Amino acid sequence: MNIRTIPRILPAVLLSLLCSCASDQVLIEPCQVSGVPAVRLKNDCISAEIAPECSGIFSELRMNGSPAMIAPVVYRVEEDDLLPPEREQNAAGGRAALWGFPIRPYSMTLQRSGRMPDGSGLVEMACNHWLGQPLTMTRTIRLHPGESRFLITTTVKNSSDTEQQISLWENFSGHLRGDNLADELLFPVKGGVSRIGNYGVKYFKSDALFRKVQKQDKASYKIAVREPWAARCRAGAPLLVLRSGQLGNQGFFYTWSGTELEHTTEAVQSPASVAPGGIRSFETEYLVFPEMPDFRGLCGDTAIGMTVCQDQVIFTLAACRRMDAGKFQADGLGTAASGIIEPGKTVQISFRRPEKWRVDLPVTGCFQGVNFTLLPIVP
Amino acid sequence: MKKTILGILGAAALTLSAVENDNAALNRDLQFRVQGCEITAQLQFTLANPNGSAVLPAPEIQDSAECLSVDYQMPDLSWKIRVVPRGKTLVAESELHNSGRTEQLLEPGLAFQFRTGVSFSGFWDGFGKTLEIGNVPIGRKGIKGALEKHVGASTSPYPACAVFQGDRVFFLGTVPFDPLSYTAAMYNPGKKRLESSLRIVLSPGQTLKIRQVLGSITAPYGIPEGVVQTYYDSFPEVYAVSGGQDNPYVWGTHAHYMSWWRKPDRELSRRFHITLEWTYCAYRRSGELLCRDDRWDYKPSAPFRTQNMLGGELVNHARYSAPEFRRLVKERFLKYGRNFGWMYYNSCGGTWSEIQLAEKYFPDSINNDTDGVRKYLENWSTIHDREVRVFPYGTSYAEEFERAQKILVRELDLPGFAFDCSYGGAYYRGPATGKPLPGRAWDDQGKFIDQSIAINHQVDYVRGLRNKEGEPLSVFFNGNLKGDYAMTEASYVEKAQYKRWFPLLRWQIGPRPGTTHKHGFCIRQVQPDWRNLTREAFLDLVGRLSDHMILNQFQYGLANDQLSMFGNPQMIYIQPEALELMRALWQVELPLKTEFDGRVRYLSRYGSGANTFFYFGNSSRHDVSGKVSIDNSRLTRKEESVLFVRKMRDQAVTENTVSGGFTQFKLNVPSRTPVIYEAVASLTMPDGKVRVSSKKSLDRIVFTLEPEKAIDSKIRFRNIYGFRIGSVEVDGKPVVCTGNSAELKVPAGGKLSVAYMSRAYQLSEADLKKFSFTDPLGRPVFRVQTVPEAKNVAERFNEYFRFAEKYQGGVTMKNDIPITVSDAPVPAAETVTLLIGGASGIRMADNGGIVIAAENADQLDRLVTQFFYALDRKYPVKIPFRSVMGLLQNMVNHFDLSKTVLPCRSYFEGDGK
Repeated sequence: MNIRTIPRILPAVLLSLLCSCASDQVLIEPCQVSGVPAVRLKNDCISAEIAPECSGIFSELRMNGSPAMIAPVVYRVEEDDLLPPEREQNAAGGRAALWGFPIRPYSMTLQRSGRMPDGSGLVEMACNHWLGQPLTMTRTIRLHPGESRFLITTTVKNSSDTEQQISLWENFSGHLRGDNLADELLFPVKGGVSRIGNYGVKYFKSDALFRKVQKQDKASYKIAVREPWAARCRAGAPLLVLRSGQLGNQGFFYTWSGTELEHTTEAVQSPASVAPGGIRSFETEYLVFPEMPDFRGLCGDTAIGMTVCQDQVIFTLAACRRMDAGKFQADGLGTAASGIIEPGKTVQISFRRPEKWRVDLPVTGCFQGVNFTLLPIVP
Repeated sequence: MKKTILGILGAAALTLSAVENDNAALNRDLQFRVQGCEITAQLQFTLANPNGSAVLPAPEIQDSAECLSVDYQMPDLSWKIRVVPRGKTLVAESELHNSGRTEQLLEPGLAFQFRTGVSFSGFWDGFGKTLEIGNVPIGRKGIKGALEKHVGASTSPYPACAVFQGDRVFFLGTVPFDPLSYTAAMYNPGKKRLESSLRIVLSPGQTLKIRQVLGSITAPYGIPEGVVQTYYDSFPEVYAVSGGQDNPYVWGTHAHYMSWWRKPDRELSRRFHITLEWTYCAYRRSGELLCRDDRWDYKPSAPFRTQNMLGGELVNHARYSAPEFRRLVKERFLKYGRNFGWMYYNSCGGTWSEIQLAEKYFPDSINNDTDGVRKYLENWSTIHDREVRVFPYGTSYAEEFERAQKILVRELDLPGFAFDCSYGGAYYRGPATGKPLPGRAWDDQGKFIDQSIAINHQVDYVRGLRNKEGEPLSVFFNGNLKGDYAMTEASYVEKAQYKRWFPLLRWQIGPRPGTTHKHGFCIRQVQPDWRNLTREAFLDLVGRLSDHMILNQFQYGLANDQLSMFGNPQMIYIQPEALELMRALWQVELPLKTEFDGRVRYLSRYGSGANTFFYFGNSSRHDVSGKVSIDNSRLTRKEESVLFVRKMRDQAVTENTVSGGFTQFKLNVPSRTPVIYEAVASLTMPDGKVRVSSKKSLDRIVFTLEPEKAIDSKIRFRNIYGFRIGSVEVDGKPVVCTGNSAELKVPAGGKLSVAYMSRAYQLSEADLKKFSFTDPLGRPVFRVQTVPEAKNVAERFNEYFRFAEKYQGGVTMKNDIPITVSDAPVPAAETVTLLIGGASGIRMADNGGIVIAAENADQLDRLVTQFFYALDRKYPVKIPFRSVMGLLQNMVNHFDLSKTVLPCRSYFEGDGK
């Protein structure tokens, strides 16, 4: 038995593509993740590393040149005389998975990477017989200049001659570095729902922002979300949000607490039949915002925090792409102008707190023409 | 809660030894001395409570030939201790009595106080690895280990702790499976003090018995291994199997739902050596095993899954009334239960109940612990509804659960129960902790009882029940607690699981038989991209996985199951040897040195003394050769040497060299081949060479020893299950043998032979060959006659030959084999006659017919099973791949495997050279 050292040779295909990347916008560089050849996708604001061989893992997320924000990926291959090489990968980083199938390390090949005509950087990987199924999975990760978000598309093609029932799953174990137990997860939950499809989900009487702190609650939950996102925050750390596209009527969010410090935010798409040769896609985003006191919700690509004082209600705004100056309206509180919001920066807007204004009710409003609802936090 | 030490009995002047075992002694002053060791220790008894008030008084110490007594008398408490020898340990057997009016929370302890100059390098806290000793105290408090997520409980330590320097070990602990909810272990390097304690609760007037263990050993073959082996040797009864070697269920392989989800098949089960099944599950509401009329219909908290497999049929509960369902279950169990070893799955030993049931009827029983363990499960024990953890000991639920099990044994004629999730680590703090029950402990949050106490209590309860023949029931358990046949819920190809669980879980299972239980080859996990493989590469992969599983079955003494047997005759081929070794009882310590330099990765040992087996496995592509030296001092309690021969089915020869307390022999370990050496005898002899050979046939095994130098010794021969010693001869002259030993003299160059006779086979292979079962075209040409009670057994002959026909065994069946039934059949030519009564065994009748006779139908059935194993060499079958868990239908289809059988190497046949 021995632990194999992963060859540190970057595939030639990657090298040839990297040479053409410019440095002033989005850069794509070779790197390594846990000893495996990987690709770094970065702009002036954020960066991340993607390792195709290691389940196409998304890791080493950084903002403004900071140290890596999330726990590192640990991957190793153990060889045995009789067994196929055994891959071990910890629950860290983001990857695609298939709901209903155990998450096991898989290997992807880099299909292309480089700068696209619109200036964005793109990494595309693919894998045949994904997770032992007759499926070809392709995953693209895109970063635009000046944005602090990664746009991810997972596409699955049914390569068999029979219909396949699949449920795509964005598995993101992005526990923030430091005392992981202090990570706080926030899910905008839909009230009155106890079941989705075949699964019981955590029940809430009414719509709310469910706050789960690993230190206090080590349970795993399936969650019916009112809006398809889950946030992770902690004092002294940036705000990290997983946002999914359409989940479908049987889709849900999931959080798993492992035996160690794992505390995940995951999105599971509704199961669907895919005909032979047919495809199915799942769009997700990893949004990164600067640390935000009292984060309460998203309004489009803007994160909103709300701090309620004795006589004031203070809103903090941060965006994952540049937002022009605009109008911020909070129902029952008033309207104010916001300045330009640059990714990585925050803007604050304050209102005088009316006497009868209740903190335990949802706060609705509109920012730059997009409506928002900030839900009361439970528990 | 602060713990206060109440008292310590200090050292005093050394006097003569009061109690001693093989290697250590404790004198009246409680000074502990070890033979051949300079380090001595002062043994101290300690007592603490959460509040602290009094100091232990001076004890009254008395000694006798059998024990040392230490009595403490306090105003409201007496503590009477008897220290007695057990193997290489001393056991402090205590009685604590609360004569006061208030409950007492106590922490009795033991400590070894070493002298200032003594130092130790390492500490073992009872978990899976040893720890380095630094400058600060090191230890563990309580028995909760790592979370076992799947079973909702936690690992727990082996009940011992130790300090060591080199191979010298001092250990303290308690007895495995004694009802203790809290133990602690600590070494304080500053104070040179090893402590072991446990916590108890004593109600007014209550007397409680506890046992604490102490000892010192050398452990040159691994520190925890040495301590655990000492426990195995000293407390064999805690690992004893219900019904012992004659238990018909626990010495075989596990059906793994083949006899439960499908219609049970006697011949297929026999070919796979299956003896028991896990019947998940034969009730509707978890926690309501009886399916009572008044609790049958209810509104589930989650949408109700109504379908479940039961005895080969998909049963939809919604279509049954309670009486109908009970009738169905009863009909199935009476038809198949005893024949197929259907262990009744009892809702995790009574630790999970459907939520509404528990809340309505057994609220006192709900276990609210959520500290690192789960309180709720979704659709697990029943697959039907959500469940809450309950506590089946001292509670209303315990009474109901025990009553239900008792009724089920009677109504369904059960062979035993299947206990899932047999782990502790969940603390019950409900009303039952107020009762004067053994097993209560305390901590900062008050009184509690660990779940392990309740499960072990239920195992004891089941073992106390009897079937209608008055035989004890068996317990098939998944975990680390009491029971008769263990399950580890992973396939051997799932290496990560074994790395996490072992060695600790293997130590806790101990010398008991058991099985793995998961998805066999686990192709989807180990080779997710299996579709990329060619057919040839896929079959090569399955062959490699199979060899890996075979090497591990011999390594750990836990069987593989039927999932890896379809299409894979090698896995079936190795079972007789593998199961014989399992029956010889797996041991933890491997007292040998080899020249293999790590190239033979698989090594294990079963049994000890004259009943020892060693296994060597080499997973590499190359054969490995070298010399092995076996340390006889670890295998025998006297200065004896054990002699070995390569274990083969026909014959073998091994040149043994006895030198300096070691038995040495050279061996070759071929690639991917299990190599076994079996002990033949244990004796006192001078250093020198002994040639040991074996010759085996159906009815007879002969071992021959040819020593280079003269032997004058008491010699112990091996016990061979199913055989008795027929004769012992020295140079052809008979020698009197008493039991399995004889006093004898063998001259230099002489020949000692011991012949074993089969208890079952009273006919030879040559006799068997004379009987024509089939004609040259493979058509059966014999008939069966039977007494009425064995008609069902007689039908097995048709099943046997139809099976052989189906799987290319060289048989052609046009008609059934004629079976005639009469009260007193007379053995006849060309006839197999089944009889009940008279001399038991398989024999030739004078007229050339075969007679199989036994005391009752069950025993006759087992003899027929044995008889068929003899026939298998004549009618070898090829059972092709089929869809099973771990190698699915899409794989069978993709690679066109439905008629494919992997090659099989007959590596236990020939002469072993």
